[in-house]
Amino acid sequence: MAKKAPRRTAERILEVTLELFNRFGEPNVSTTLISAELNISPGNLYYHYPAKDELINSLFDRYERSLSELLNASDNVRDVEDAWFFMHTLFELIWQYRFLYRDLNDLLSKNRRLETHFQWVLKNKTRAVKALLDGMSRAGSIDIDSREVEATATSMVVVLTYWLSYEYVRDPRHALEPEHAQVALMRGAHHVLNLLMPYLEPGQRQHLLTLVTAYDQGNA
Amino acid sequence: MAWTSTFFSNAYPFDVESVVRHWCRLHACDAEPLPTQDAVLEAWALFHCGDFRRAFESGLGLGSAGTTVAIKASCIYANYLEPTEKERLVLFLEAAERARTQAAQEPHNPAAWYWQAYALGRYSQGVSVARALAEGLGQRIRHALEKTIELQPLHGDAHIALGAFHAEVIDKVGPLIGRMTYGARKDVGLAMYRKALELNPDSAMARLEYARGLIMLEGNPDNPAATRLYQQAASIEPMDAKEMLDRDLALAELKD
Repeated sequence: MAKKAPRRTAERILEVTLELFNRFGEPNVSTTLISAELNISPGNLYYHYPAKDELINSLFDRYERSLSELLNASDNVRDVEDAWFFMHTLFELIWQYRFLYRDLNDLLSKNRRLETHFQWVLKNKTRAVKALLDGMSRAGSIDIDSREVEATATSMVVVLTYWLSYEYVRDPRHALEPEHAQVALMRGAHHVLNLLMPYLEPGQRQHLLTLVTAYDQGNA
Repeated sequence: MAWTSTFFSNAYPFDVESVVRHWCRLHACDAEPLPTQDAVLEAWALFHCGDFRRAFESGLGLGSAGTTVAIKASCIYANYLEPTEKERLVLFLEAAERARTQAAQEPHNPAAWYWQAYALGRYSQGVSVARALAEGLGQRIRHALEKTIELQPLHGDAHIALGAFHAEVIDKVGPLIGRMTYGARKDVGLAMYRKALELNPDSAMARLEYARGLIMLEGNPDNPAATRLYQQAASIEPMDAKEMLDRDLALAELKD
């Protein structure tokens, strides 16, 4: 009779690898470091993940799944309050997998799966942001010319995608450490939504400024 | 040469006499014939003790009679103990090349074919199974394993490796392309694992690989059959250092 499912080693390996990748950057983490951190033999690590690329792929698959679920929620955004919450949640997910964004170009050049799937990630983000703009437009929160939607959505996706790189360049030694998460995510959400300012209905515009001020005071 | 980590287990102090006495059980996995030269047996004693580096060096110094022990020692070291991914792949490529040369010189030696397949298979897993298949390594691995079994139908480890070949291909390219392009089939893969266990019922490695194959083929990491296999593998008393490494791997699976 089988006892409780024991398949925890593979899961533990993924959790620790994600933590190490996020902390030091994927190029700086070897399989030697991962097995040492887990206190398991190299053979045990290779048994589950015979290559570092498999670890990257497994973590990326998880990110892609969670992202896909979250992006589908953009249809329900009606006003600034919803958009603020949506962007913040999105940034939180990106933060959980920040190693992907920290060394994005390097990863894309050496991992075929990421090379192809990240294009899908960008498309999916753009589609979700357009749905968000559409929802806010229909609810009367923004007034945007349909010819400006594509460019605005693209700009928002660029800021969304590269915000953490910007934070990293500003302060490479501390920006991606956990204690800076809250500030970095808030700033990111603020700057993405700031791109909506020219289109926001006056009440909504005021509400966004209030949210930003509240956040600034909270972090003063 | 890499070998950044050395390993020696005092738990298995084999010498020529004890290696000869336990040869059948120690080599139930590969049906390797008992060597006739003492020097070769000494290299095997080093291998079964777990002194893989010295087993490798001794084997290499013995000419063709020591090639198999040398290749096996380097492959087992690379698979279980080498901490650096890059060095590990170099060791597998070197082993595959030595085995290829050995197979050219001794085409009727099953070990030459088996270790060629093992080293290339582990190398492929390490670089990306999909890429290795695209480069044609899949056919070479499969051919070498089928040749091993044709020459030595009692080769349990070759059956495990062939099972793993079917499972890996299906896992990485899917059942349809796997079957059409590489002839990989789930039922054949599972039958290979079962045959390996029939041939070598005391094999922890057969159970570890069978469990991994089941998880790949059936997609459920909590597969109860896999759990049972890990439990069985953990309860098998190891006969030598390599078997101890397998047992420890199974124990690690059950630890959490």
